[in-house]
Amino acid sequence: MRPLPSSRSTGPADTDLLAAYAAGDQSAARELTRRFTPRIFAVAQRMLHDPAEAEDVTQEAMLRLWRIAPNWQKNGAKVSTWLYRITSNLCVDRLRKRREHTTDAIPEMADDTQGVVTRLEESDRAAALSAALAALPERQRLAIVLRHMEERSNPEIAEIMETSIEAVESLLTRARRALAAELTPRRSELGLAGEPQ
Amino acid sequence: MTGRMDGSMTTDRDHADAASLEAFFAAARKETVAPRLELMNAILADAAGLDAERAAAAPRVSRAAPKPQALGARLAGLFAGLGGWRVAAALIVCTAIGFSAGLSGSVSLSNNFGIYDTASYDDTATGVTALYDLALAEG
Repeated sequence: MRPLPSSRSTGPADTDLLAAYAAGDQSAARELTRRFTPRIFAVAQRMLHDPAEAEDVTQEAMLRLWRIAPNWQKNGAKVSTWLYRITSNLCVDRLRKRREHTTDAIPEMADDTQGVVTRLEESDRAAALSAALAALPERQRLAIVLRHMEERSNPEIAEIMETSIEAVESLLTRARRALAAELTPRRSELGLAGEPQ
Repeated sequence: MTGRMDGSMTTDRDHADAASLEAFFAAARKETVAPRLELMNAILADAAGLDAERAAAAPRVSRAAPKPQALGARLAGLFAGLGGWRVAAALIVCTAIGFSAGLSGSVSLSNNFGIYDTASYDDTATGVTALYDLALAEG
């Protein structure tokens, strides 16, 4: 599992940086932005498949972090977990609104999937997974992104999604089954024919 | 079903699903797109803007305790309050003269333009003594 963003960075703890920002230290804001923006932008991008919307969500999540900074409870949730939760909620909200207004988003993704066979194999696999993810229900998609791309632990995912570890397990199991059903038949086309399943 | 160190419980089928998908997950992890510089700058501008708003709403007050003043500075402040060094010195001299005169008992006080000798003052003229006597007699 990849370490948390904060532990990859040498220097002050996330909570200390947040307190420093609340006291008016703009260099603390720069460091927090450097630590967290790439991570939450990646989640938003994987959830939404739209760079502009992912940027909006990322900016909104960070804005909420700046707002809560003076009242941050040092013994509460980790800054990273809190940010993942805000980002996840914003993404799910947008996906639900999008679903209310459009009904053909998934076929568009499927069309895109048909075109990826001409690209490089790894890029093809990433694109195929992205398209398959887009067809999953929001919470299953979120669980997969957090578990397999952000490499969070199940207990942390449960905290981010404000649910039980068992519920996370259930979401992951159903999501992996659906993804495997979609992607396994395409293994040879995506250069994985000889590799163990 | 098997338990894992990361808190997950998996069935054999789920394990097989995860294994078959791992090449796809690995490819997706490599595809991370870095946020644009404009986004980073917009986020920092938000941080600075909110900080400025907070500063305007509640100006920061220094919580450092005031340093204790030196004795000379404190006296200077006191004398300034009294009207300056000269006034303060005159006040001290007058106080000393009054104090010494009170101790020696040599100063007389005027009463209705007449002069009383404070050392030989007799209260029988006021009738006060007679009142004391009457009270004692009544028990």
